[in-house]
Amino acid sequence: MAHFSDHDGRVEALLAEAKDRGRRLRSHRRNARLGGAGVVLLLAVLAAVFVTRSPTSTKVNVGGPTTLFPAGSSVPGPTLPPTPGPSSTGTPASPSSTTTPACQASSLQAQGSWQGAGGSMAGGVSFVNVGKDSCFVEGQPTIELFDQHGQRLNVVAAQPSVAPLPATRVLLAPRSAPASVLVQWFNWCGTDPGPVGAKAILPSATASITVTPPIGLIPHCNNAASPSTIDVGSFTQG
Amino acid sequence: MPEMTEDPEAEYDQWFRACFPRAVTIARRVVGPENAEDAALEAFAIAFARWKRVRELPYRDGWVLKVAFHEALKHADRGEPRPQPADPYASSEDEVVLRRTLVQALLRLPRRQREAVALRYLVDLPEREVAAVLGLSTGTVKTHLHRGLTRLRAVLGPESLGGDTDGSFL
Repeated sequence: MAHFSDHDGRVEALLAEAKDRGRRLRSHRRNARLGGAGVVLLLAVLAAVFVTRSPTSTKVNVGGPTTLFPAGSSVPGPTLPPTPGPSSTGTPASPSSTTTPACQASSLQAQGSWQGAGGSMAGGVSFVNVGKDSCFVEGQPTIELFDQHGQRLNVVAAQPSVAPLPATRVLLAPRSAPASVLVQWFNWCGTDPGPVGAKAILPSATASITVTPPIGLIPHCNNAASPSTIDVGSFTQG
Repeated sequence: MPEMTEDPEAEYDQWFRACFPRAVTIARRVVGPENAEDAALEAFAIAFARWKRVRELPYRDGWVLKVAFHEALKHADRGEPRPQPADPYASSEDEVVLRRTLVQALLRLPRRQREAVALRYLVDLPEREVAAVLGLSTGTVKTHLHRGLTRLRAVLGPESLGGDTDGSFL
């Protein structure tokens, strides 16, 4: 019986360890989202102070250098303070929102929040609807990375460590709460790319969205024989 | 459909106790006993972090076993430590070589084929459940299995799978 008790005790210890790791993962995800939202808010305040909207709606990229990427990237419009009120919360699409169109790259602004995580680069990208009408995002965007000269880095999509959950459709009201995805970049063994630019491509689109600011953290080289990989999560609310 | 209880965390605990040993077994086939438990723990940690959604999945056993498989592949990709002769639980060198060869062959398959082969022959899920976990039809799963095993035979050599393609070598 002593052996049985030891076994039970071992299982309970492993259970506690799994839950502890799970809580840390959850906390990490929450922090990534909060970080992204914080940067968006900060830029919104800066934009409100420094950007003057003209009647012709001149587009200004307030998030980063426009020369980072080659022509063809969409340039986000000015960030404006979120519209207050109940509609400012992104909500999962309801049956009544089935007529809401999918978001286009031109109507979204993407903000990255990057940090190191055990040798990899982990972060969150928040997407804010800067268009005039509500739209939705769902599934997983593609994230492409570029060196400081605009050359695309040889980074492949990671085999998902997590099987995709059923896609959640996230409704984005204009200038309201964002949708976010988690991003983790592993094993960069190439030359120093300098500040790394990121572009996001929506699942249903071909045009890209510039993610600002550039990534200043490069993941460690763990295995030069393996490719550098990037793991991108699904859109979630907030 | 998994049994749902009033207390989500208690339900997770119950599920962990029932399913964790199976996840360790799956991971051990990929990465060996030295890292199998850690890979399985990581899979259940991810499940706990997303428990609100995962607990509603009708195929959550298959889901977490698939995650354990992927976590084990990550360990394997980083390279296993050489077995220490003094450690009675360590794998023999032959076992490590065999496992690495198999893992390298699996890694050369397209993702869907690799997942289908792993879930069917490492996790021992029936084709119907593999289809549910991957969100595919049973017919598509059969196609992935056939192509995956054919490619594995090409990589590992014609003798590796025997005369048929039932994947029993795994």
